[in-house]
Parts: sequence; C-alpha cells; structure tokens
Amino acid sequence: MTVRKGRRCYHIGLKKGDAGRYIILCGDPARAERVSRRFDPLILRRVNREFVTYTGMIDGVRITAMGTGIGPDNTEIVLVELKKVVPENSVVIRCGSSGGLQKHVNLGDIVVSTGAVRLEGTTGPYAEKGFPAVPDRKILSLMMGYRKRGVHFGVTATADGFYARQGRVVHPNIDDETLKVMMRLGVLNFEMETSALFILSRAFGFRSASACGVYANRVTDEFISPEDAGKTDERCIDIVIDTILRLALEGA
Amino acid sequence: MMKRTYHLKCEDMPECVLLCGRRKRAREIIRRVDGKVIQDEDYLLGTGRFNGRGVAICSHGIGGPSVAIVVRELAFLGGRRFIRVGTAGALHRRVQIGDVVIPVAAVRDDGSEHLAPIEFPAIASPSLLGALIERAGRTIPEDRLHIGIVHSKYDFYSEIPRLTLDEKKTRKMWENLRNLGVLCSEMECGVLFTCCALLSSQMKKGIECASILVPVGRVEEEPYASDPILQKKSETAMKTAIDVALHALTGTRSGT
Repeated sequence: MTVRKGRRCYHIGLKKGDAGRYIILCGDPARAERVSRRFDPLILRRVNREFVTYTGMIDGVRITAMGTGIGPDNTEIVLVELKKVVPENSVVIRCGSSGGLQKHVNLGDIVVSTGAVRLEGTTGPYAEKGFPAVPDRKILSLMMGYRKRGVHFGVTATADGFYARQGRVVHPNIDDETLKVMMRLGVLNFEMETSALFILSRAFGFRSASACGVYANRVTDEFISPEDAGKTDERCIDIVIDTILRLALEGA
Repeated sequence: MMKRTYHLKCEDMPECVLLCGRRKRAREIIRRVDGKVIQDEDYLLGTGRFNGRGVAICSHGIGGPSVAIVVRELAFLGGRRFIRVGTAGALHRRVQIGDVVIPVAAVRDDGSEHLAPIEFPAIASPSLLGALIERAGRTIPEDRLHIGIVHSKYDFYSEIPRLTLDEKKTRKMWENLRNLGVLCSEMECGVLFTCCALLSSQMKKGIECASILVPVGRVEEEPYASDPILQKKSETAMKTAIDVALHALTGTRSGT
C-alpha cells in the first residue's frame, strides 16, 4: 500500500522502528508535546502537516506520543498508517479533551470510556451499523483501578463535527435533539475521536483505551480556564502513562 | 407485598436475576436453587436462594422485544443485576460447539434502535462482566472460554443465508463479522445491554447486566447441531454456565 520497506508513511511520516509499541494519541499536537516533556531521553520528533510524533523513554519503556489533529477521519489516517510501522497488538491509548454531558461530570474531571457512540461516518466501511465501539477489556479493567474522585467510567459519544453534530445550534436548520438523547441515555461526554479509535483498533489488531479531560459542561454551560485545562491534561497524562507502565511491567 | 406489572408479578423481588430464554430451563434452575415458582403464565418466574442471597429466575422468551418487556418489568419490581444464560450459534472459527462465550458487547443487528440510536454501544456492565470472567476462569479451561463481541440478531433464520432475501449479502455480513473477531450470534444480548443502559439512566440507579452463552450450533451450517455427542457437550457446558452465572450474580454486592 502506501509504505514500502524503509519508506515513510504518507501522512504521519514514520518508518518501522520510529514508534514504540505503546502509543498515546492526542488530538491536540500541543498535548503530544506536553507528553514528550516527560520523556528521558526524547529519541525522535517528526512533524508532517498536522501530524506530530514524539518517541522517547519513560522508566525504561519506549513510548510514542502523537498529535493527530481533530476528528475521526484524522484518527483513521494515523491508525491505518501506524499499523504498517508498529508490531501487532500494540497499545494505543487516547489522551484527549471533551465536553461533559451530565451534571456530575465536572470541569477538570477525567472520563475513561467503557464504550463509544458512533456519531461519525469514518468507521461505517469497517463495521456495520450497530457494531459496538469498545476498548480493550484488559486495559479498561486495569484503568478501573483509578476509581477516585473526579474519574468517571462510562459511555462517550464521538461526533464527526464540533458544532452541529454536537447539538450546538449555530444555524436555524440545526436542533439539539441528538445532544438531549445522549444526555437521556446517560452518556458522560462528547468528543471527536474515541469511537474511531475503538472500531479501527478492533479491525487492525491494536489494543485501545480512551481517557479524556472535561473542558466544558454542556448542562451548566461552563468552560474551563486555560490554567485548569493544563492541570487536567497533566492528570489525564498521569493516568495514561501509569496504565502503560503497568502494562509494560506485566509484559502485556 | 405482591407487586405487579403488566406481564409479571412477584413478592419480595430479589436484586439478583438470572434470565434464560426457555421456560423449561428456567424451571430447572428454580429447582437447582430450591426455589418456588411464582408465576407460570406467559413467562415463568420463580425465586430461591443461592450463596445465602435471594435470586430470581425468569424466562424471557425468544428475541429482543420479549427481553425488553421482561427486563424493564423486573427492574420496576426491584431487580438490579441481570445475567442472561443462553444458547448461540458459533460464528468465529475458533469457537466450538459446547464452548462458553462471555460477551463484552453485542452487535445491535436486532431492531433495537427503538430503545436507543443504533450508534449507541450495547455493552455488558464492567463489574458484573468481571465477576463472570473471574468465576468462569476457575472452572472452564482457557481454550474453551471465549470473551469478546457477540452478534444479536432480529431474524433467527439469517443463520441460514439461503432463507434470507439476499443470500449473498447475508453471507458477506457473516464474513465481515468474523473478520472483526465476533464470536457467536444470538438474539437477546443487544437488547438486554441497551435496555439496562436506558433503565440505569431513567431510574437513576445502576442496573447491571451481563451474559454467558453456549454455542449449540454453527452459523451458516446448522443452528442446532444434530450430532448427539455435540448436544451432550453443550448440555454439560450449559450446566457449567448456569453455575458460573449464579455465583457471579450472588458473589458481590450491587454497585461494587
């Protein structure tokens, strides 16, 4: 397909050996850079278009942090190309941001997804309608060890748009019915990548999970301050890296 | 006090509920827990004790619409933890007749968009699922226990593609599902899982659900194996599955 031996992938610009078998996916390239500040040493940095990759070591474990840009379509590009340059069964954990859909999901909390609503068109060709977008069971149960205040476990809704798809009424033709239905079903948060990560990981043999910080609350209509957003990112990164280190310790 | 809903009635409804499709199997399980039959019309419902805890046993009939009635009404009566034991058709090549399958989630090919938009994932409750897996791991050999995604269907006879409207399309569907590692096909998990998500949200109480299945035939070949040796194998596996389910249901407290 798009990569020959020794060649770089078309969009992400990686070749075999560039990425570790533990990968952290961020939408925001700045968050990937934030993860990379913890690497000692930083081994590789590559940038092509909106796709950024950092590979480095944490406690002797080789970890890759990538910025994919926003949306399930970008996530697809990254995962299809990653599959060609990383070992089978690699671990891909999303570390993202999202909007809370329940009153008790507060700004600065973390939502770990037990499943995702597929309000996007990207995964349709891979899996029929009704196919469940779910994380790797073992990684999820490892993450469920973080049952503390401000960490929620539940269903995430993934949209392929930020405004209309998430019920933001920016035009008279748009209504917020889907948003209300998600709230009524107890969905915890709205974001733009998780269902694509879950479905494509199933298709390509990655083991995946997703943790998102809560930047906004759609019930109370609040938005996080830049300072608290940074703190939330750090907490989310803590959880994801700790999960990876525990997986590595188990040799999984 | 005897509480009633449209289709069920029960006195002192326990939180733990074991569901199965067939009335005959429900009767056997009620006997297994030294319980008593409370209702023997439409659905068979009984209660008993296991592990020192009350447990209800209820038949749910075949297919999603019937499950949606039973689960809702049992939740209204006081049920909080539901495990379905049932049969399925093996789909993935590594799943054999008489093995045991524990669904993590279900493909909603079952008409359940009436309960929630079709994009919503039908997933088993992580804690009850964990209890089932832990318990199953103690008695079932690793190569005979499968944990993963199952397929829930509207049309039983789609297992026989030539009986469907578009045989080629049906065969393609089964192949696509195999390519995504789907283990087996049955008719109720999609609705059970989706309905419990809806109920949890509506009742503001955690309604937990999970399932344990035994393949008794093979999709695209024979929905029920005719070989008596295979039949015996799945009957034995079913007894094990019921035991695992009863232990998982009653082993830990709700909401933990």
